[in-house]
Amino acid sequence: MTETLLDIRDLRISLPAGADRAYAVDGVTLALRRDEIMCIVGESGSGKSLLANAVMGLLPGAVRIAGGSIHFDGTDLARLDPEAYRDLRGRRIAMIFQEPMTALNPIMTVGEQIDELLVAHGMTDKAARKRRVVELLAATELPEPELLYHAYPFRLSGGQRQRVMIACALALEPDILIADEPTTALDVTTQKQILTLIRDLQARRRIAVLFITHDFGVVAEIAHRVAVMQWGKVVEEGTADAVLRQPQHPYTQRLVAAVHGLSARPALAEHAAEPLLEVVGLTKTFRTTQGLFVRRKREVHALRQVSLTIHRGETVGLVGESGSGKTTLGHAIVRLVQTDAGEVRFRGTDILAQSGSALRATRARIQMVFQDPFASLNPRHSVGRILTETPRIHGVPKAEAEARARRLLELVGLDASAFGRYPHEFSGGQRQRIGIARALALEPELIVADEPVSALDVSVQGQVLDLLADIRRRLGLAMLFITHDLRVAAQVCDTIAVMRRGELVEIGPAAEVFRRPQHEYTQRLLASVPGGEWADGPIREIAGQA
Amino acid sequence: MIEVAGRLVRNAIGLAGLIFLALLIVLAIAAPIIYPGDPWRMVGSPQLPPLSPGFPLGTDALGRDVAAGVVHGARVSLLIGLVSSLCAVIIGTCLGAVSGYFGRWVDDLIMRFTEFFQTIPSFMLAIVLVAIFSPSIGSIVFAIAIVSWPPVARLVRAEFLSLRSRDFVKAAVVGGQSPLRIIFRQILPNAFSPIIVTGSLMVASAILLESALSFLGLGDREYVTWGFMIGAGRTMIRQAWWLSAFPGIAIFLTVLALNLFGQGLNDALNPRLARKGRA
Repeated sequence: MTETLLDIRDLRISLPAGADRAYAVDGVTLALRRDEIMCIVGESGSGKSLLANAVMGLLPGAVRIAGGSIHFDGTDLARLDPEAYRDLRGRRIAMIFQEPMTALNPIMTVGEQIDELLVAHGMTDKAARKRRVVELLAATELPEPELLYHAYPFRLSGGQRQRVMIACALALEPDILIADEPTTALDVTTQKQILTLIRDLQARRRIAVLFITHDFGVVAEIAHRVAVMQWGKVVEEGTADAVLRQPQHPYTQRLVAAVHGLSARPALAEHAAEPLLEVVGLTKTFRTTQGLFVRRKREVHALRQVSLTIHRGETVGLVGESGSGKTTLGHAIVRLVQTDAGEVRFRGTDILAQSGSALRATRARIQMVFQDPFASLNPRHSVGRILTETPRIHGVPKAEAEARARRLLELVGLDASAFGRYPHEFSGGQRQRIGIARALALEPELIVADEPVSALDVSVQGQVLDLLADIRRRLGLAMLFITHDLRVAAQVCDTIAVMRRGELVEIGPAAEVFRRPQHEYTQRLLASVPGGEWADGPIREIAGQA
Repeated sequence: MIEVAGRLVRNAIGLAGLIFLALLIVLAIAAPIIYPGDPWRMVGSPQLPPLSPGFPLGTDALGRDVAAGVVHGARVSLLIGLVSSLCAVIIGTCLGAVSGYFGRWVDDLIMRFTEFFQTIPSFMLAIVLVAIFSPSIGSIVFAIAIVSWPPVARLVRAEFLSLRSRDFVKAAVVGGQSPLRIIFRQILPNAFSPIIVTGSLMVASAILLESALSFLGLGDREYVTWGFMIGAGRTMIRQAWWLSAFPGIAIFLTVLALNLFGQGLNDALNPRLARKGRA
């Protein structure tokens, strides 16, 4: 039995009056031991982040510890005075955050930021500090640490910044590293590297890691032990193997079952052979001009000669990492961006040349579902207005538009009373349903769905994906499904198109692409999916049945 | 609309502002009934202090009733404040919305035009405009509107720049809505709160601007205004403090009420805040 570093007993964290429940964390008992990675898994609002913040003594003002205790290495953290706590933070317990883009100060060089930390904790020898910083940057496997010392954060990619954050966290040799969704904002291939790095550093330095995540794939990659949280309570705790293979609690079973492997689902139905939409040699370059007099241009090739065909009733999954141009392609098809060259033919007509009433007619046939359910509905309009406004513009009489809106609400699984309410009264998943209903209001033939589930919790994701599949089947829609998540793509797509840096590198039937990826980049993407082996292996079958 | 009004009434601060403004408007409308005849008329002995019989706010050096002046002055001040702010908000909103929505060269053009007005000291410009067109209610309203719209345009542009990239705007484009419709039906309602708050503050500053013009003798000679009264009473502030104090208090209370009303309206227009307040 190794020593217990962090001992949380019956911890309760109370929320301010008027919140959806009285305790954000309700009677949690956990022990974190040296030499282990403990994952806390839960969906948004489960209290997992507040738990981590409580350990760091960083609870926001209105939220208080209402009962229980947190002991770190024998000290009761609740009784610690602010001075002693400050010394503990960083030196003994360190933390890394989700958003690497904002966690670094943009006007200080990377080296200075780590150096500052060392100064704050009493290292006076300048040369020694410099040596230490370079050593840390090297330990996090950053390239050319000597040069990087003098680099400003904007020169670094997201993954590199997260490495710098890890270097900062490890600067004072802490015993515990708390990581709050450290890879959620990163691309899959980068996520894989960061997870490997955290695992290696943990083993080499013999520290304990408290890793907070919502993704069971990540758990499968990294965890020794797992605690599953729901509504502030730990519903299941055990070794990673046990929880992933034989989840006991129904909630865990549901979460585990919601994680899909990469084995593509069987094709829904044979889609028609006639092409609905043909994209031919589409090219788009973004140019930014800086200033009025200085004509210095920066060019980004978002699309390079992209060609793609979507058949009637087919779902094409467009996958790729951020910046690969997949969203630009989606926007080009619905005419939200002007392209430089190429054609988009919808039922044989080039829609890029259209304008006026012809364009309006085409718009009704091609609709879009957006990523962020909180930004995609006009907060000042009632749901009824959101659903009836566009049909009315296209000449549908008021009464019919309203009747259709009510039918759509039913179709997407919402109560008819939603008609008169405002978007802020709905949860993320419900809003996304409204967004889907809006897209369907014009009875389109093609839907461009831009990351429609990536802002949602796993269990809600499943529901929305099922809804999309159901609607497709019933209405015979074709869909361009844009996603960065290969597991989601595997669940819904007939055809997979892989994009990288504006180029379409591979396209083929989903089963084919997942089983025998041809392009080197596709292979790398597939290998990076967290928990891939676990989710695909025979273990998965057992978990699925449980 | 009825709903918004209901929410406004439930908001204590907004209600206080609304009640005071309503009283003021009633007073302004009823001025010829309460104080019939020309307020310029000499009606009593000169320099009567406040609370003299028949003259609750006293009289000035020529024996004119201060109370009559304040009540009649409310007509001009409110009229000029409201009309000129309305003009400024309309000009500023249209230019800012077009600028922010279309961007590129349209934005460049409109913003350089806006800067042209912003670089000229606004009060100087107002004086010059009123002097050129000879002082009258119309020229004063025009001058105040011309110098007040640039901040509105900048504000609306900034709001539009951030709202334009929201997904619900993209959804409206994909749904085939025209740019004009998107500007006025989709984006503008979301930018209302800051516009209304600025607008109500602008009524306040327009009243102050008009007062300042009258103070300098550039007011409309046909009418008594608060600014003129302060300007005229200024030379006797030590002997007859009430001559400037009462119109000054009137300006202060009106400006305060406008600010409170603007804040209340802002809260009432925001459905999210309103629902929370009710729960």
